[in-house]
Amino acid sequence: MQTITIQPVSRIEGHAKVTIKLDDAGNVADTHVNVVETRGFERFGIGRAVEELPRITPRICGVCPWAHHLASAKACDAVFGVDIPPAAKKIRELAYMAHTIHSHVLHFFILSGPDFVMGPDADYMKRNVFGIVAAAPDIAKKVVRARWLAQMMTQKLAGKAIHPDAAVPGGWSKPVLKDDVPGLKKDAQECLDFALFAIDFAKKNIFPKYLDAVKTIAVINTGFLGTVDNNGALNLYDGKLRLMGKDGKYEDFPVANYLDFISEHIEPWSYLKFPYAKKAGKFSMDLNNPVGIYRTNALARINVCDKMATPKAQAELEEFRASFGRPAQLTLLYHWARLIETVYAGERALELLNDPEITSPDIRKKVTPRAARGVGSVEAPRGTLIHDYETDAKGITTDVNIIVGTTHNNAAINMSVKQAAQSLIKGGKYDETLMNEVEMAIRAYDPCLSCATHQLGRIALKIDILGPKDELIQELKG
Amino acid sequence: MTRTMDDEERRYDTIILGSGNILFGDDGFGPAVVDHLLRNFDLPGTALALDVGTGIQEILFDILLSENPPRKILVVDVLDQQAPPGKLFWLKPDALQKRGNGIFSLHLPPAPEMLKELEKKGIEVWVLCCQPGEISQTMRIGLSPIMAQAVLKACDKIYKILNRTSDDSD
Repeated sequence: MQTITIQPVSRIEGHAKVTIKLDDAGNVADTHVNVVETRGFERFGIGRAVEELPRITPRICGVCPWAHHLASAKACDAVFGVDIPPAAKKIRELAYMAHTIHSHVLHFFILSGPDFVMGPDADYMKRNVFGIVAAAPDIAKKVVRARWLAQMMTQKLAGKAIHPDAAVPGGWSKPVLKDDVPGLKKDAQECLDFALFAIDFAKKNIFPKYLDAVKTIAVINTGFLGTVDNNGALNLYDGKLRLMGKDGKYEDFPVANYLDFISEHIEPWSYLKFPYAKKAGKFSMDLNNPVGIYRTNALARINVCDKMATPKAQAELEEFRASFGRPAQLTLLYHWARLIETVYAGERALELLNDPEITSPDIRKKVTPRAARGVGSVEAPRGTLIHDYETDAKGITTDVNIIVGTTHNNAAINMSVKQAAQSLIKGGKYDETLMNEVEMAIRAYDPCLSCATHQLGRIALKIDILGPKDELIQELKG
Repeated sequence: MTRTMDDEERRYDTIILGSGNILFGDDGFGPAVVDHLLRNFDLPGTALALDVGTGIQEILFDILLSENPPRKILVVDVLDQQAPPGKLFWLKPDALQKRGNGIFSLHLPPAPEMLKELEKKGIEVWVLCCQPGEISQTMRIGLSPIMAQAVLKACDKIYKILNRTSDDSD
């Protein structure tokens, strides 16, 4: 049996190794997306004053700091048993919309964009952000400006954009000044204008060109997980979780009850757990008959929601569904869904800035330590992010569980890679273009593997030591 | 004085990026240097010091695409050089590239290729590296004592460069 290894998978955050095992005929027998990094945050979070966690968790990762910050703050609110003031909710959501724009633009144009702007068959050395600068300098300028505007919005709202600390248990630490609103509106409007430009540009110049690839690469059939509000509309900051089966049927539940709906499977070759739908009763990544597998992140959110709460995003959703149905299963449609969400985030930011309550000084409630469990979640750019804390009577954490978006997608990423590899490698023949398309399958999920791996203690580690002829000399297990 | 990236039109002469994860012991060296600089030094108005934590890649992408890049970038980070803990040394991207990818551990590294692209854009790029005493494999906040001392030395070196009293590159 021949083994092909792609390491590292370029342009995704964190580290991953893809192993593709070929059979004697040179066809794909199996694939593994291996994660080789461990971070141990959950254990680290135990034994601390729970209010420290919203300040510490943004340091888990420099890519999703806002998602961790707000999910953690919401978990703390629940631990302390407070319903934060409406203005605080709105400011948090506003900052989060800006972060979403900042992150989605990064992923579409810088991380995954080169695959499309340059093309999957372009020279590997040119198929990157530098290639975009050379090929489309005007777009590059727009990208930088939109990201800068979004980053400045979070900075104005929170004092700092990188590793934020403005959300506190019970609310928010800094009111929005009336004098700041006009400038923020101007920034949000320009971000929305860019989002509309981006999706229009992609629909005219990118997606039609690669529709064949979209229809064939990494296609799998799964369920989906996302957050909706009480009207069934997509919400990135707050709401109830909706778990949809691959047949489109769904159940809604409060995030605090997630353990009743989600179980975790373990494979010996991966640090990452494999969450799956508990009601399925078992877990299988069989491409022909997957069981319990669901996906999260932008495509999942677009699928589970009944509608978008803002008009331009709703129009985009209707156009998307007219073409691809509900639920849309084609993996590379994650990119399209991400752009719809960017439009939504821009519109929602403007809505919040037009709400007079956004400048209310009533932004924080007093909290008192108690023994309790609290669960908070947000829709991180990379998927549903759940923080689950338990504290003793002094407010010291006794248990911490975090499920990040990439972990929800672990099974789906593995399945998509297997599907891509099976369709692209025949008789042992492949070239760099094909291998890059395997990478494209992973990048569609925008995975952040550095914070998806966090298990210390019983590490599911397996090391094979091979001799000169690849014979197995020793097998080590953690 | 704390400055931020709030003026798009402003062209900073020098941007100092403290890179690393404060949750992993000595890996937090870069952010600690920036924190000390901002608290204890009166930086020139043309300089911007940022604790970029584990988010340096994004910042470098943006600088690369920017129409108003700085003249000079100083990245502060840890690097295992098999040297005594706390030893400081300046490196150029070329020297980093010879050591291969992934040389910065436990957080998202500034890839040498990225730094070289910034150089091609005409930006002078230096990396001030420090030999870590201990990069914790589990999360632990705080530098080892010898690294805390190295923070002071690193700030002196950077301050000298900012005030052009010495080209302290070696």
